This record gives sequence, C-alpha cells and structure tokens, in this order.
Amino acid sequence: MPETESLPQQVKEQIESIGRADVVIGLPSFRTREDLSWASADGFVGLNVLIAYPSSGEVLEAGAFPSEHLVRYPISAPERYLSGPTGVYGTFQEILQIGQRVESKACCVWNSNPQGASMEIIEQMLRPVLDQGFDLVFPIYKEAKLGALVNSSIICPMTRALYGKQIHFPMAIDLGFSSSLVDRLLETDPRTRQPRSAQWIATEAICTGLPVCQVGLPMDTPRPPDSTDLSSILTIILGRLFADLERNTSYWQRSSGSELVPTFGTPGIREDDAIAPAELQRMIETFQLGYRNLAEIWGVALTPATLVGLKRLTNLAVSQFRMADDLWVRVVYDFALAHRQRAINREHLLRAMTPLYLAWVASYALEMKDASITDFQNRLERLALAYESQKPYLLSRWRWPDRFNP
Amino acid sequence: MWEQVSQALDQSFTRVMTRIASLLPGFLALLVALLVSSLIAWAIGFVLRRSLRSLDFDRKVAGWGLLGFRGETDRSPTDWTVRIVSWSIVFVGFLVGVTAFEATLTSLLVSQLFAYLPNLVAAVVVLLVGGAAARFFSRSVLIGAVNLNVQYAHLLSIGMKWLILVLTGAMALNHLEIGGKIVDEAFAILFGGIVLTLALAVGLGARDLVSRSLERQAGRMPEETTETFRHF
Repeated sequence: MPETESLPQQVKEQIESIGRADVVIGLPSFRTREDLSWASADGFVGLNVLIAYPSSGEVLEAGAFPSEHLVRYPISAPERYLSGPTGVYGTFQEILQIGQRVESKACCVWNSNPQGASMEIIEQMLRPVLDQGFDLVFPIYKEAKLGALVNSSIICPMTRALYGKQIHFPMAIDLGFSSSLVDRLLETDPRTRQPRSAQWIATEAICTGLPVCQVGLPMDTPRPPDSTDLSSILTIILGRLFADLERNTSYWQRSSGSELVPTFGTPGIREDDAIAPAELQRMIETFQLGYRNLAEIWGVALTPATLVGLKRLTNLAVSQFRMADDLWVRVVYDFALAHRQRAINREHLLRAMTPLYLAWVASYALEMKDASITDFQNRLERLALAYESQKPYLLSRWRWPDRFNP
Repeated sequence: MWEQVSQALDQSFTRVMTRIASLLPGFLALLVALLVSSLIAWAIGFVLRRSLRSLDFDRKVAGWGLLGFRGETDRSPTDWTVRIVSWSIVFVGFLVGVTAFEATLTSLLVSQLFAYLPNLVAAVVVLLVGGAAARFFSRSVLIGAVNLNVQYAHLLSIGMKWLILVLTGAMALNHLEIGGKIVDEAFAILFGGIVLTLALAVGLGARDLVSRSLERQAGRMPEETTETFRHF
C-alpha cells in the first residue's frame, strides 16, 4: 500500500467487502443526490463499476445504481491538486487509493460539477484506457472563441511548446487514469516528499513517457467553484505552471517541436455572446493603469525591449489595440524566468501579470470580433507556433539569465 | 617678583604637561582599540559578505518581498548587513578605548550605554521590520488596486506605506524613550490625519462604487456578471 495512505479504517473495510472493481468513478465535488441522478448500471457492459463520493455530501440511497457499489470517503483537505485559497482545486488522492485497493483497470476522477457528467461521458473518458492502453485521458471541452482564455493564451500553447504535446486542456481537473499511472501517482516523489498526484499530472505523465490521449466532450469548460477573482486564480495556476518548469527543466530543455496527441470524438462548439465595448474598454484601462503604476514591478521581470513594446500599446486607440504574439509570448516567458529567479515576491510578481493578461484578452477579442470558428482555430495555432519559435529565447535566458538580456 | 611669576608659570606648564602625559596612554589605547576593532570589523565584514553572497542572500530577501525596487536604494541587503555588523564592532572598540581614559567616569558612561543598548536594538529591529512591512503591504495594495481598475491605486499604496511607517516610527521612538507623551500625541494626530485623508479621498472619489457595492451586498441589486469572457 502507498506511503500516503489516508483512507480511514471503515472505508478500507467496506472496500475489502466489495473486493475487486474494473472501473472506479470518483466524484469529489458531489453534494446532493441530484448530482448522481445519471448513475446507472447500464454503462460499461461486462465491467464492475464502483462509484466513490465524499462523505461531506448527502447519503445516496439504493436507486438505479446498486448501493453495494457506492463508497463514501472523507476528503483530506491538504491533498488538493492546484490547491489555493480561492477554491481552484481537484481532489485525486483518496479516489486513486480506492482505485488501487480494488485493483481497478481504469479510474476516472470527475472533479467539476457532477451534474455535467453522465455514464456515457465517463465511458467515453475511460474507453481509451480500457481498450487501447492509454495511461492518461484529457477532456476537450466545447470550443468557444472567448472561453477558457487563460488556457488558450498561456497554458495550452506553453505546454505544447515546452513539453512537445498538443493537449487542449493540460490543466483539466476531470481526468481518466490507468492502473499503472494510479500506482505512480500514489508514490511519494523523492524530490518533493509529496504524493505525485498533488503535482501537475499532465507534465508528470508526459515526462515519464506515458501514452496520453484526449477525448472531445459535449460540455462547457468547468468553472472554478468558489471564486471569480481573476487575479487570485491566475496566480495559483501560473504559479503551478512556472514551478513545474523548474521541476522538469531537464525534460523541456531537450524537447523540440510538438506532436499531435491521439484524439477521440469531437468537442462541441459554444456560441459566444456579443462583446460589450465597455468590457473591452475596462480591460484596456486596467492595462494602461498597470503601465502607469506597475512599470517598476514589470521592469524587474521584463526586458527593456518588451517594456518598449508595452509602452507603444498604451498609446493605441481601442480600435487599433493589438498585442503582437511575439510580445505576449516574451511577456509570459519573462515572467516565468522572474518567477524562477525570485526577483521579487512570487505572489506579487504573478498578480502583477493580470493587467498584461487583460491586454492580451482585449487585443485577441478585438481581432476575433467577426471571426469564424476556423479563423479562431487558426489564430490559436499561430499563437502556439509563436510560443514554439520563441522557445530558444526562454532557453537562453534560463541558462544565462545575466548574460542574455536583450 | 618675576622669579615667582616664572616659577608659577613653570609649575603650571609642568602640571599641564604631566596631565597631558597622563592622558597620552589613554589616547594611545583609544587609537589602538579603534585600529584593532576596525581590522576585526573589516575581517568579519569580508567573511560575512562572502558568506552572504554564497547563500544568495540578496535574492532570498528580494523573494520574501521585503525589498524596494531597483534604483530605490544603491545598497543591497548584503551591504546593509555587513555595514551594520562592521560598525557595531568599531563601536564596541571605541567603548573599550574610552574606558582606558578614566575608569570610574567612563565605566559609568559605558554601563549607562549598555543599559540603553536593548532599547536601541529593539528600536532598530522595529524600524527594519516596519520598513520591510511597509514596502510589502504597499506593493500588495498597489497591485490589488490596479487589478481592480482603481484609478487612485498609487494614492492607496502610498497611504498604506505611510500608515505603517508612522506607526513604526512612533514605536521606535517609544523604545528609545525619546519625546515621552509628545510622540504618542503626535502619532495619534498624524495617524488620524492619514486615515481621514484616505477616507475622504476614497469616499469622495469612489462614492458611486461604494454605494453600488453596498446595495449589492444588501441584495437590492443583482451582481453584475458577464458571460462574454470566460477566463477559465
């Protein structure tokens, strides 16, 4: 059994009485009975399914799903993936332990709102593990021009450029696991002395060389559960992304280019609402205010050339407000470097990036105002290629931070 | 009579010279003590500077968010630490040298100085911690206010910085036992003044914002949410 075992004795006994299960579905965000109204014995023909839900929610009664295949478990708060005060998290630890105890072949942790899931969706997520030997399955949520913007602007293209895999949602919190990945994630990482599941699972799997794939799902990107404070959530997510760069330096410094990841199914498309000019105006104003007040903090992270580029942006009218891809990519890479160098307090640094991110969003939204879905996909592809083409810049500054400072 | 005058002058000259001669060893001892303590201070400063640099002390202090921006001061935390330690050693050497003059008089001075030393150390610590806290919190306020698109972000940040600095200054003066009640009263007036200024500035500048926020909290107005941009 893993060193990080946190299941109480009562749960262990219940699992022992169940014996083995082929598939484990974990729903850490479960609250009420309605959350699991979709559970039925129809899915996964010929396979034993076990559903694990937290004891903080309501007790489920026997219904369409056999009650002997339901496990209630207490969530230990510290074991949160993407942990942060604002509630952006996923909880994997206990479900993975249950999966390991029942010797499951595949395990799905559905961290977002359970009402958005269904037996079909979970089966879609786990089929590549059960039938084709993949170790980790990522979801692809509905595509939208103005949806999941942090992912589109930073996480997805940066992961692609650095780790060489074209994964749409590398920081997804709804994931499918194979038994071998479950075993690996439950080991304690000798470097951090923490369970691996508390780290960023996507890069853990990529750096280990495990086969990963993605599945298109007909659902919107899940929203962070508790907070809408952009700055705090951005700080948590970027903090994890940049910290992971330090952990996996030897891997991403060697990788070059990027490759497609096997993809099953096609994601839906979400229609965007019309862009309110006032919202764009406010984002640009925040950026301009940031330039007036935070230039000193930005100066700690950004190179003089990048600062000059930003200064030019502050003088543009709203209709002409465009941030070049190369400029944006350098901003992101420079912040990643400053985060590594601890040039100033890390939380201050990451929070100070919010106005720059809003400037990118405003520029992108203006560009995509009348664009078709194909234009939008091409636009993001161009951005991803800019991340790849600027990778040597990151590499040089990472290796020689004082010598290479254009 | 001239003989008596000459004799008196001779005697006074002899007394002065004897007095000066009796002080010379003390002067010499003071010079030697200063020289030796300076040498020790230089040696310890040299070792300390190298040790702090090898520990990457400057970057660590910057990472804790306790430093100002580049250009705000031309001295690094390592420089400051080395200077404080070196000058403390020179000061101790000076005290040793002064004691060599007149044991009874100077020992009284030294004992009073040493009795006062804890107050001095406490005041310096309060000033250092307060200065660092002022920088940290003023920067937090500045970034938070800019992210909320608050136009007077800089004013808020400066207000926060001076609130902490005034509080710190008053605490340090209290430790040094300087000023007595005047410091307390001056602090109360200054602190109250800053708070009132900020309250007026924010209140007048953001009347609409505050009233909208209060109405929303009271449930009279729906939260302004938009689904156009989804960041996550």
